[in-house]
Amino acid sequence: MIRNTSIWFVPQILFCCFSALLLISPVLFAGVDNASIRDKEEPYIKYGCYQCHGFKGQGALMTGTPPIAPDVLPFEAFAEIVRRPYGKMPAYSPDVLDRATLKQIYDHLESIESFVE
Amino acid sequence: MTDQKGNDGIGRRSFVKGVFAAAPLTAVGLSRTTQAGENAQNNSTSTSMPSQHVADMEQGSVEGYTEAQERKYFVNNPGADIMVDALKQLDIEYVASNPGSSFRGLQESIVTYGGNKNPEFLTCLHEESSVGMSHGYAKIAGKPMAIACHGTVGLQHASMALYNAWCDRVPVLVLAGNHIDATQRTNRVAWAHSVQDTAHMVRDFIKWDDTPVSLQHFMESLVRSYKIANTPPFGPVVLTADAHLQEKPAGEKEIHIPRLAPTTPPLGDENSINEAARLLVNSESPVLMADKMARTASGVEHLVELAEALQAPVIDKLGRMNFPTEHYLFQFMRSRELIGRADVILGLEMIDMWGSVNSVADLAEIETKRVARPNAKLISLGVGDLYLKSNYQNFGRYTPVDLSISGDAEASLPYLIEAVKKQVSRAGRSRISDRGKQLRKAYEEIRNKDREAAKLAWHGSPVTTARLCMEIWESIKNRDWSLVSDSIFQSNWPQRLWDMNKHYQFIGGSGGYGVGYGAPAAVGAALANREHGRLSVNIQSDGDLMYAPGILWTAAHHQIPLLSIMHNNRAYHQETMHLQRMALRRQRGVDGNAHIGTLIDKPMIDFAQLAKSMGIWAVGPISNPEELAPALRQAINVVDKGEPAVIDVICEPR
Repeated sequence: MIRNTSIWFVPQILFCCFSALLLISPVLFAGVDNASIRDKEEPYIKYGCYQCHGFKGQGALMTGTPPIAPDVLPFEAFAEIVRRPYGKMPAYSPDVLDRATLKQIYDHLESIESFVE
Repeated sequence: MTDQKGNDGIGRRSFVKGVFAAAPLTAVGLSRTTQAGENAQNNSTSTSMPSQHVADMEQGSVEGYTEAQERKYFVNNPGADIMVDALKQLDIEYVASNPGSSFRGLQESIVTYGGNKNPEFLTCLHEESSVGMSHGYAKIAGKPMAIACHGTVGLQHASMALYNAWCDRVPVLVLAGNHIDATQRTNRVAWAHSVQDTAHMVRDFIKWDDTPVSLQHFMESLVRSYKIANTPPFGPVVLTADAHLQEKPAGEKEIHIPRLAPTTPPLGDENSINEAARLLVNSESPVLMADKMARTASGVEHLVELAEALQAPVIDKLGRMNFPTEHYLFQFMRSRELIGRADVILGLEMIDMWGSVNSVADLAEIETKRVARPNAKLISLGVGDLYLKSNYQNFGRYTPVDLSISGDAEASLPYLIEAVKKQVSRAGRSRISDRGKQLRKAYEEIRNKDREAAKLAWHGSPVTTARLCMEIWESIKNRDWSLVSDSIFQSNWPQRLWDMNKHYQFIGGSGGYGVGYGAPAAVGAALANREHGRLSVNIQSDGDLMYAPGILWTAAHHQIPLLSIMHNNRAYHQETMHLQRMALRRQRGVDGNAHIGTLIDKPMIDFAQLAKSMGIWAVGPISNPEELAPALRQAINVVDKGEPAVIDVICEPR
């Protein structure tokens, strides 16, 4: 059988295109994040920081919270406020939020800079 | 024995003969070929015609009915027709209602006798929506609409919305159906929908109620209800419209609908007004606060005039659109700082004076602090003390003010302004002017600060409330717009960065903080805005909409143009924060338990599909802020054609 090159390669080309599409589809077809907050493991969300401070640490007038990102306090000052807050903020004792996890939250805030206008 | 067709003709003929046994036929009445006879022949289960009925037919009137039959079947002049006449006389343009048998008489009179115009019957899918619509409508229209409901189950549904209207001091006229006469209740439904004292359940949060026992009584009470609802402090009223009065003939006696005699708003007394002026003029740092003050453009204009005469900052508590946000004396964002420095504070129609000069920290041990200076002079001007009730505690904590003036603030302001201007001396003018310069500078600083704050996480997803509000502002700023929703959950970005200068551009919130107010109030306010061609904008909380989402159908059905942008944070977020606070206070479950019972997810509600299911153009969900502008353009095109539109946006919580 004489092989018709153009015909022979078409399905392979199509397969490659399809595979490429599958690989980049999360980017091309990125839609709404339907993952529930309940399922998110980042400590900043899990420990409820986002509730008053926003997902990007931008703060909110209604909750009386100042921005905590992208300009982040030094870690020790940050930790002190989390342990013994002022204003309306409830206290996170070491019993419920250990220092290691607190540091993870702090690191998350430091990484938020990229979301700022 | 059967005939050739196989019919048991003997049995059928015997049946028919039995039916007519006692009914001799006449030329006017019947022959064997009448419908009744045919029915009797064709339907072996039909009942025999009562002999009395047949006897009546022998006495037939010209139209074929005896007088007794006419009384039995027809009502030519139902009482409800006159009720509608009264509603027209009061210029009630709408009756919002979920239909019910206990006011079927009234409804029929509205839609047929009344021509379904002034009033028009608005179909709601929940009584809470009916009252919520009326609540929002009244704040724009400056007058109430009526709602009709069952005096039992309907009023029960409506009660939370009535409480909101009561707390918010807004007039709503409730017409509640009932069957007070037990002998007139035709079935078990009517019994379940009957009550001895209709308004008992809601009396603690309405201004007035009555249960008229005659049509004339009804007319007088209807007019009185309207008058009382519209006398400051405004509030809802309930009038029972008994089914008996609606459905029975009005009778021969003429029913008189009395003329409405509106009550003029009470004014602050001259001596107190002069004393208030003296305190304000001689103060170094006066502050003006306004809550549910401005009901009309005059209220806004007069407050501007007073503030400018004193060069005093205004802290708008956002119960209404009290003061233009672009005016340099609008110092809403500096509330704590200004209250802390003030030597004289004037509160206008304040619901929570105590909370404005004190703060309470919600900690395990409640901490109360005075925010105002200990020796600051407090003046209150309003009608709150003239009418309040004790059971529900919406009146707030007792505040020992120095001067308590009873009078409608909006109506009293012109006299206060006159008194202030008279008392300002030449020396005082210079001091006042310097104060104004500082406030102007502070205003610019705070506005710039807010502009910078809005930029934080500008491109973030979920969409920030700042980005949401500013995209909306870009789309509406060159239009005659009206924000028909509260802005507190969006951290008041509209007040912080939009230019509000007309009294209809903001209508405040629910009053009683009963969730479920937002959607129907927005629809009602949009209805009132419709005749003015205004673009009504509703920033809609997801949880609020889910209380009675059928209001979307009402908006579509009645072609109420309304642009709704969902502030979809997928939670009853205030309660999420409350749960987190409890967990932290108790040192347990802080890593996620607050989400149980507060999140609205799993599954995520598709609000665009929800809206489309009710005939509304919708798009979403959108979580990419870059998609907002084109979606808003499309939606506004739809709204400009006279229809509602919904954009679902996944947003930051606050």
